[in-house]
Amino acid sequence: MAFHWDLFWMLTRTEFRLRDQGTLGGFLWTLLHPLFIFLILYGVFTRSMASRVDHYAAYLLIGIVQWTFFATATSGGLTSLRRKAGLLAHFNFPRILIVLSSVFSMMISHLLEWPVLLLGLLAMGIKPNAGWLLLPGVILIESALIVGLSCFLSVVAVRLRDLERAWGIALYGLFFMTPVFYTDDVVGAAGRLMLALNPVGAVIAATRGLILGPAHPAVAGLLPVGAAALALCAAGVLLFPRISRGVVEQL
Amino acid sequence: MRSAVLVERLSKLFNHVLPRRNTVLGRLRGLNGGVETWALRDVSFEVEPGECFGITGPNGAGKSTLLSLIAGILMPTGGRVEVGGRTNAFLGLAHGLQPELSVLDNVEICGILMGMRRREALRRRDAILDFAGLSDRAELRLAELSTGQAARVAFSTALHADLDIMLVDETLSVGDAAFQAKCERAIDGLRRQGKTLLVASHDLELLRRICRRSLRLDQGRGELSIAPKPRVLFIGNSLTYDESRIDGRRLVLNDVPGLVSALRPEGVETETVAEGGQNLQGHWEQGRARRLIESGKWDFVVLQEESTLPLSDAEQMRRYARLFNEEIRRAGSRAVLFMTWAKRHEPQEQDRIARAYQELGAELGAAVAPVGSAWAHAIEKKPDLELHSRDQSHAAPLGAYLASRVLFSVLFAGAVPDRAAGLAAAAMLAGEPRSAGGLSPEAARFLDSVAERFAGLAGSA
Repeated sequence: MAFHWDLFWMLTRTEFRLRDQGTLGGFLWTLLHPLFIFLILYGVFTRSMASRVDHYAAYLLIGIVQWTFFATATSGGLTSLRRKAGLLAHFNFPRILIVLSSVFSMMISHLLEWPVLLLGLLAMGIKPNAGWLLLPGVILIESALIVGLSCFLSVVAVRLRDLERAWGIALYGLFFMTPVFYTDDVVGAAGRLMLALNPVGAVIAATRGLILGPAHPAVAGLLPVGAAALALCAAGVLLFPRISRGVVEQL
Repeated sequence: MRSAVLVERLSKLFNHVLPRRNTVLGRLRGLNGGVETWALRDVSFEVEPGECFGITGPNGAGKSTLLSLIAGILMPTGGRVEVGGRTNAFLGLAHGLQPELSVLDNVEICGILMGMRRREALRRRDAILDFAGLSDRAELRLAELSTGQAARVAFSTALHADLDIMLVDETLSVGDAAFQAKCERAIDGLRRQGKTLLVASHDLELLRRICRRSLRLDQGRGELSIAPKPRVLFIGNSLTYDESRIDGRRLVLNDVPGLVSALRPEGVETETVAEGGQNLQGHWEQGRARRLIESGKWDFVVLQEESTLPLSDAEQMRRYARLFNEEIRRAGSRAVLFMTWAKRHEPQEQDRIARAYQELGAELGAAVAPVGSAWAHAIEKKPDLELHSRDQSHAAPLGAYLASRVLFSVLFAGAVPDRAAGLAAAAMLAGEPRSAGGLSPEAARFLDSVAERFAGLAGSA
């Protein structure tokens, strides 16, 4: 167990260092991505959306940060086994540690974004409230969703070489089907059903509810999503040894 | 005794899916096609704890697949693998490490992957880099090292990782001669600790040096072979081999070739051309030694010059050693220079003798077995040891043991000597004084350590 713990930490640090070169400068590049999207979307949509929602800048920023975590972490999880093909071909160790460390390293980056985000929100005049204390729970639910998806995606991506591109297109579509820069009420009835089935939308709505209020309906909406995310995560972790059997020879 | 590795009817089938089918669109279009390859079929063998086992065969024969199956990285299609000890790494030229991270980071990564705790990996980092000869490159990216240097990182880490079974694929063949010799000595040390090694290589000479048994794979099928005995031709005089007839009885006073063979558990095929007082010029002119060399059957030819010639006429020694060396090379063998020892009452001459042999070795590119230097050191540390015979010039049984022990380690670097058999053979010699039979274990260990040390300084043949 101790061996696995050291190995997990080492793989996580390696992921982190390879992505951000282990420097503050590297981390700033990670921050720039959501900030850049924020500036563009805010510039384009502020006129039409500001009248529909209070604190549109905060609303948009929260959506982008949570969406970016989901998109980058699942994309990283999907390619994790392929990126570590060399290690897998030469060392025998629990392969799921590769997927978990990939997601965990993204989670660390995401957690480092939060102080910056909260400072930004305070600067926008948002007042802290008790709901902020529940934010780690929302992040954990989103992480569970990402781990579950990554367990399956990483194995399939070894067998289907273009899955990374297909997932990129799917994420692009999902971005527009998720109320990141718009509100639920701008879509029709069919669109609302689609949004109701979107787990990332529920995560973003709960985050906004906890920060901007009202908290209760958003958090209540997250409960079934949380249960499904935990189930998916458990299924991914438990089934991974079986579905990843033979994956090394396909790398 | 439980096997370190047991492989029974092991088979591995690879299903290579064609690239066009290996995509989302390919599956949607229902594309089929693939190639099946049997990498291994019904391979069986057993490796004992402490054994160094060779695996050889042409490219694509299944060597790497076999090591990956033993490491548990791949799953067998049929048969079974049982491993009696800790092993989880397969050390190849493509080491699987992180080229974008520093050498230092990769040592840590590699150590943890091989089962070290992180603090242990950090603690041993300097020793690992030192062994790999990469201390001055620790901060460089791994990608900036050559293939051979990068392969050393994983190999050196494995040596320090306390694995019970090491699986090595070609890594030993890429190092320079000095690193190879260092690895072979390290392998020797691991085997003494009861560790097991499986070494896959195209280098048959390397496998013959370090492995008693080898598995030859060809198109996935294996054939076990016992390595043939190495063949060594000795050319010298009574310092190499000495016998006399007394009352019709043949008494062997000194027999370095016989002792070298006794020291190797699997034996050595030897032939000796030695006459009392003979020098290399005499052997050259006589012709028998040359004819034996020309037969081309020798792995090594050991050349021992008459003991006073390096002092009285080093130029003559060089001239005939050069001539012999050319013949030896032409025949595909390797020359080893047997450095003789100074007379008991002339220890001050040993430096000149040693210098003459070392300069000659450097000129010819031949290994020097520094027997004389080892003798001088042993006598200096333990003056009571009776290495010289009573005539103060020839070898007593104990001296013959030390001479053959140095030669053994130079000829078969990395091989574990059968010390008991060597001492028993020395005790059978009729030379005087006959102290070899009653040699204390401490003294035997002392002579072994002297031999190892001086052979190590000389490098392998």
